Parts: sequence; C-alpha cells; structure tokens
Amino acid sequence: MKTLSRAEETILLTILKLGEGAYGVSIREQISKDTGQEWSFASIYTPLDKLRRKGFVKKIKGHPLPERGGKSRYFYEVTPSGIQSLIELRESQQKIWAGIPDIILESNGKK
Amino acid sequence: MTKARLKPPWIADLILKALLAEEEYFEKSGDLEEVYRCLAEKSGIFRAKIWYWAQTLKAMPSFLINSIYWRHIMFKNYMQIAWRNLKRHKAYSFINITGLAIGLACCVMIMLWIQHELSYDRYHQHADHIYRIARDITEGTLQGHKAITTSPPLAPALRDGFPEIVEVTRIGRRGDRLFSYEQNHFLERDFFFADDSIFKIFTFSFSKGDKTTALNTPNSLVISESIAEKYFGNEDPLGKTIILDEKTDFVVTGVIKDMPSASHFVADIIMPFETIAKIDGINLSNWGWNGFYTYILLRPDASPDALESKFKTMLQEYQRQGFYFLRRERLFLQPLKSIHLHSHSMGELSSNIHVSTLILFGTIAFLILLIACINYMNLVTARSSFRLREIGTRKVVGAHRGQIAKQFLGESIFTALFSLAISIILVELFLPVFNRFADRQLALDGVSFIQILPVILILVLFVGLIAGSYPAFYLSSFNPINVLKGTTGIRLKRSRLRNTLVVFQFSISIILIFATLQVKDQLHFIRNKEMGYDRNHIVILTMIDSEARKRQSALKKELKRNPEILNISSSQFLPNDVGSSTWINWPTKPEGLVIPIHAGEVDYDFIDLYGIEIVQGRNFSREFSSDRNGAFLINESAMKALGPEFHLGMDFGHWGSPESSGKVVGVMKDFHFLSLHEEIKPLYLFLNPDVNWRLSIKIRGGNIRETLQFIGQTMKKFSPHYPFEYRFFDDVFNRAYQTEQKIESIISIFALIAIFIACLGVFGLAAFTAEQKTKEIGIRKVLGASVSEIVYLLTRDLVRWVVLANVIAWPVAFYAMLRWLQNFAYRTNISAATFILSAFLALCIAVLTVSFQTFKAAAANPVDSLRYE
Repeated sequence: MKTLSRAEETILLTILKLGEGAYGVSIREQISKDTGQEWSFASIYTPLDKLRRKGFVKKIKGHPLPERGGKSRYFYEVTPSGIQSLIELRESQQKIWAGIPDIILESNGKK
Repeated sequence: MTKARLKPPWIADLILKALLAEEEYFEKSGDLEEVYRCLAEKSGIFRAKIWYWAQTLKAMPSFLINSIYWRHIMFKNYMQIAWRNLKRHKAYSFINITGLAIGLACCVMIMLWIQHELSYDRYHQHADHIYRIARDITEGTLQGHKAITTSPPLAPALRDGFPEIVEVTRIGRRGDRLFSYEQNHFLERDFFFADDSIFKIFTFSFSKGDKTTALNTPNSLVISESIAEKYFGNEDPLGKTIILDEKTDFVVTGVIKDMPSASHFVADIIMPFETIAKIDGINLSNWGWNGFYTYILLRPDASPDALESKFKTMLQEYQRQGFYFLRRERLFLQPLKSIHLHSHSMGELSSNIHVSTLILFGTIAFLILLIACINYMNLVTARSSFRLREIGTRKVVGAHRGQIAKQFLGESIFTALFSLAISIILVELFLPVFNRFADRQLALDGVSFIQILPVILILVLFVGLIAGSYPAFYLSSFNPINVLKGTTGIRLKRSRLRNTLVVFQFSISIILIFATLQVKDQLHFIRNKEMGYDRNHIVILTMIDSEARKRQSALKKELKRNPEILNISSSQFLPNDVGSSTWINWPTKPEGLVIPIHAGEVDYDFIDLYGIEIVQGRNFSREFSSDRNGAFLINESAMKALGPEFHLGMDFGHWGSPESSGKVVGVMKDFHFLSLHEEIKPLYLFLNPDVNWRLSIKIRGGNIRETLQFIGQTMKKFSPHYPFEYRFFDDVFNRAYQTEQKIESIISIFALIAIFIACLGVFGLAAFTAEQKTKEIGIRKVLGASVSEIVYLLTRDLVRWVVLANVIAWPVAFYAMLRWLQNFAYRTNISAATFILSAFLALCIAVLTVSFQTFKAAAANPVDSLRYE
C-alpha cells in the first residue's frame, strides 16, 4: 500500500470537498481557511505532483481564462484509487487511535 | 488600473518558464497570476509583486530539483544513444571526427599564432604610452615615404623641447662584430646600443646589476642571461671584461632576463650609445644621419596628436640652422603596440607581419573547419533513415519537436567536443612543424591554452550548432505516423542542400589548389627570371675584421693564386639588394627636378664578376687614375629619368651633393638590384674599394670543397680570430623570397587538408549512396547493365558537382591571385593551364576517392543483393 503524507492527505480531502472546482488557487484558499495558516503554492504543488504520479489524482485541462493571462485552469479530480487510499488511511488511523484513554484526550484538549 | 500593469513581474515569470515543462508552466503561472491579479486589485500592485516573487522563490527549490532530475535522465539517454551511434557506425564516425578534429586543430594552431602576433610588445609596463618616432618624407615624385630610422640629435631635442615627453632613448643596432672574453671569440650577429633611459621606457627585468645605473658609465655592457651563459658559463658575469673587435674593453654591469620573443626587437647585448658612437665615428649632431631608432615615453595625460603637430616648428628651427633637407620631413608617432602589425618600412628591427596575412590564414583555417562541418551535416542528414524509428518512437511517447532538435544539437556538440580532444593531440604533434614554417616558438602550454580556451569553446559550440542545426531542423520535422509506418511512408528526397554544400566544399578546395599552383608558378618565374647579373658559383664572405679589410688588395692577390678562383670583387652591397638611397644632384640641376636614386659602393671588378652589361660609355678602370675618386656608373633607369639632361661625362654629385664629385663614365644595362616586388629604379655605382665589407669570389665550378678550404685558410691568415663563414650568392638570392616560399608551402598544406576533408565527406556520401542503391544496381545488372555503366551512374552526379564547383571557384581564385600577384612588379600571367590543372586535379581526386566504393558496388554479384527480396 502506498502511504499518504499529512500534506497529501489534507490536499486529497480538500479536493474531494471542493468537488468540481478544485484547482491550484481554490485548493490553496480552502486549505488556508481550514487550517488557519497561510500555505504557499510551493507547499501544495509538491504534494500534488506526488499524488499525480502515484495515480491518486487526475489533472484535467480547462478553458483559457483572461484573468489568468490567457492560461488554462487545470482541475484536479480524485481517482478511485485515491479514494481507496483515503479509506485505508482512515482505517489505520482509527486502529492507532483505538485504546487511547479518553481522559488524556479530554484533559489536554481543555488546556 | 490598466491591464498592462496587471502583468506579473516578467523576470519571475521567465524563471518559471525556464524551470518548468510547458504544461506545468501554464498551470502554475496561471494559478499565480490569478491570485496576483486579485491581490493587486485589493492591496496594490507593489504588495502583489512582492507576493508573486515570494511564491516563485519559495517554489524554486522543488521546481529546480524536479527539472534537474528529469533533464539528467534525458541527458543520460541522449548521451547513451549518441555514443552507441558513434560506435555502431564506425566508418562514418571516423569520417566526422577526423574531419572535425583536423579542422579544429588548424583553427587552434592558427589561433595560437594570431594570439602570439597580437601579443607583441604588450608586456611592457608603459606599453600604452611608448611611441617610436618615424619620418614621413615627401619630395618630388616621392610622396609620403615612411622611414622609421631617425638621427642622433633628435632625442636630445625632444627631451629638451617637450615637457610632456617623460623619457627619450636612442637605440642603434649593429651586427657582425667580434666579441671576445679571454680566449673565446664570438661573432655576434647583432648587438644594440642605447641611452640608459631605455630601461626606464621599456620593461626589462634585471637578474643582476642595477637598472638605474647599468648603462650610465662609458664602456659598460648589459647582456642577457643566455649571452652570459655563452660567455661565462657558471661564473658571475658582473665586472667581467668583454673586448669588442679586439680593441675596446667593456665591463658587464648588468644581466637581464632574455626578452620575450613577442618583442619587435630582442636585444641580447646592450651598450651605451655614446661609447659606440665614438668607436664607430657617429656624428651625434648630424640631422641627416638617419640610422637609429628613437623611442619616447609620453606622459599618460598628454595627447600624441598634439605632440605630433608641435614637431613641425621644431624641425623648422633646425632647418634654419643649416639642415635644409629637414624641410621634406614630417615626424610622426608610432604607438609601440602597433609596430609589429602595422609598420612595414625598410630597416625594421624584426620582420613584422601584415594584418592581412593573419586574416588570410585565419580565414583559411575557418573554411577548413567549415568543410568539416559540412561533412557532418551531410552524413547525418543522408543517413537519417537509420534514425527514423528512434525519432518516431520518441515523438510517439511525447517528445516534441524542440526536444528532438535539442537532442541532435547535443549530439553534434558532443561529437565536436570529442573531436576537440583529438585536435589538441594533433596540435601537440604538429606545432613544431608549424613553428618551422611560421618562424615562431609557439607552444600549447597552460597559460596560452587558458587564454584561447574561451575562443575554442565558442568555436566548438559554433561547430556543434552549425553542423547540428540542419540535421536537428531536418530530422525533427518528420511526421511520426509516416516514420513508424515504415521507411516507405517517407520519401527521402535527394537533398538539394546536400549537393549545394558539396559544391561549396569543392569550391573552397579548388580555390586553394588554384592558389598553390599560382604561387608555385610565380616562384618558378622568380627563380628563372633573367636578373641582369650572374648568380652561379659566387661565394660571399663578410669581412668583419677591419684590419683585414684594410689589407684587401693583399688578400685578393693571395686568393687569386689559386687557379680555381676566377675573379674577386669587394662591395658594400650585393647586386640583389642595394639598400642606400639618395637624390640625384649636380651643379646645373634645374630647380624642381627630383630624382631619388639608389647608390652602391663597389670596386673595379664588380661589373665583370657579376657579368653586368655596359650599354654606353665604359666600366670603371684602373687605367684612369681619376676614376678612383670621381667616376660614376648609372643604370638605364637613371638615364631615362634624367632624360635630356643626361650626357656621357656629365657632372655628378655624390650622395646628393650639389657640387660635382666626378663624371658619369658609363651606363649599365638595368638589372634587378631590388627584389622582384619592386620595379627597377635609378641606381649609380661608385668606387670605394678599400672599405667594402662584402667579398664576392667567383669560382670555377670544378672542385668546390677544396676551393672553399683554400679560401678559409687564406682568410685565417689575414684575420686569425674571426670565424670563417661563407654563403653562396644563390642562397642569399633565394632567401629574399623566403616569405613567398613559406606561403607556398603553407597554402599547399592547407589545400591538401581541405581537399582531404572534402574527400572524406564525399567518400562517406558515396558509400551511403552505394548502400542505398544496392538493389537498384542488382536489378540493373540482372537486366544487363555493365560494370562501367553502373560506375557511370554512380559517379555522374559527383562529376557534375565538381564541375559546378570549378565554375564557382574560378572567378574567386582568379581575382584573389590577381591581387596577390600585384605585390610583384614582375609577375607571371595567370595561364589557362592553371585553370585546367586545378579543375583536373580536383576532378581526379574526387573520382578516385569514390572509385573504390563505386567499383565495389558495381562489381557486386546481383544475387547477393537481391536474394533477400
């Protein structure tokens, strides 16, 4: 099984959340909003590229747009194997989290 | 806010474009631009720009690593394919690499040479502010005659008269004198004498002694390290005494490092100017004694032009003091760094070179390289069918045209680099040969190599691009569908460009062959031209010993006792080079008639010995006692120049004196007393038998060795310490045309190389054509074609190309050689034979080159070529 890094996981989930409108700019904005941190383009392109090579996302060329200087948007779509890997990731995480006493989580969470 | 201002910073954009593949670039820069515009609207263009830059820079490392990674993979693949292709087609690789290596070797060698020629005199610390004073002489028919020698009083006048001149030095050169240290005697070919400021103007490095005082005292002497070793071995030279001509003592006060060979004068022995002036009786205040060189060091802020214009008033002043002849002179400055390339007057301190010569050989080397590049182009495109599958496959898996083009360019640069490595070895091997021709000591050492390295790399890149550009353009244009359908889908049309290039190669070769033939022709003409004097069996001695010179008549008597010796004559000049010149003058000369004339000192036997014909009047004769001090022989040209003023027995002023010094007793038939580059000019000869340096001895051709031995022994009796050296007049004569002989051999070598490389290419093409036509030939033979018909079929095209090349080459070669021949006042005509011979040679060589391939293909058994069908 190909493992996912933290950033890859975040990006995959964001693409799924955005649905059809997922491309570089919107992905970055969504992640920045969700995490409350400013993500640079570099930090999303590298994982995106890796995901593409692993076959978890697909790139689709859109129409050229004037606000992009006549360049096309490239939309991303999660492939079935990408969804599969997310499911596997969640399962393994649940396994890891299982058995951790609630007290620890709660007390730390309150701080 | 206008649209244009919304554009993102173009430099950052460029960086992205360079780092990313096309599609990636569109996506990423598009994303960035979208946000950028948004930001620009919201928080201003400046903040947006900063943001854009920050994003680009942050992304750079990952983009960079990515792009390098993929480039590396592809590069490795390209190199591998290039190397495999080189190995697989050994014969073609050999042709390409040999051609390019030879072409590059020629270029590197010529570049080393040009670099050397350009470096002359640049090592002097003040090189930019050193000038030589030269004279421009205008009088009568003589217009703007340049002379580089000046008179002794010029230097003090300059020093005192012009504050912007920091230092002045006079330099003189003498030669063929005897230098002795204890029992060792050396005949020095030349030595220099100069004012002590020579060491302040020029940069000399002293290994012993003090340069500020070395030439201060009379009879001091500065020598080079090699001279020090020659005279003193390991002893300390300082303070040692060297005797000049067995008379004057000189004390060594300084030792300098040998001067670099890239100097327009190389002095090994330097003596104080005034000491030598005293010994040789040089009149230091005579403005007419132009036998020396004057150099000045100008203040860096002074203008040379302004100085030049001030010389005129200075000369006018000395004119008033009685040096009336100064009125025809104008002084000008020659910058030190320009002397080697731009000064070509009589009496240069070393043989300077014409810029046009540098350009000529640079061009030839470059053309040879071009011929080699054409080979590469032709062979790669001709054989492109072998690479069609590869190109097709690459295109199918996604290579775009640019990548294929880059691959082939890379391949040609790779080949060029490989050839460069071989060419460096070739240069190492052949540099000594080149040095002998060019009369230089060039070496491919670290320093010179690093200096020309940038040019070499540019050259290699140039070769790679020129040779690779057409193949890259041509091969990358193939349509992958046609290519992969099989070679039938694409018709490799006979490339017109390929033929044009072959014609071009042959044109260059033919021009060079033509030039070689013509130079040979002219040299043959010179060797056999009737010069007007005898050149055979004449031995030349130079009588350096002044004592022996004074006892000339006794020496002659002694020599004449040998029956092998027919005649002896002494003279100051040899009949092929009468150097001194003056003006014709006599008491009743009409004002305004100015005739320059050359003058030579001879003795009674000169005319007889050299077989010079007297057409009017008589020869010098011992029977007329008045001849000793008052008889002149002039040549026909002088007679013509005098016109109606001439009559036998007319008064004649010696050395341009307005008073009569004697009578013209006879007229000689014109003979070539200068090289054939120049027309015969007016000349007069006069008697001065007891001071002449050159002894010409006419011998019977019988027993030359014994006769020479006898002459040697006799000479030893008269001057025991002087080494006996002789030359044959014929050799002396031929030396004058050394440059032409060298040009002949260098051009013929270049012609050979050019035709060799062109033939390599034609050979490769012929092999390829034969290979392509194997089946056609098989079928033709089955249908009854004979071997000769097939040979005709295969060579027909080549013959056509070479003939066409001739048509192109002829006018160019004809014009070029016409220009070259104009250097000679006496020259051959360009004959039809040269045209026909050069065409014939080129054709023969071309046909011979392909004959092997052609015959092999034509004689092959058709069964072999057809049976796989």
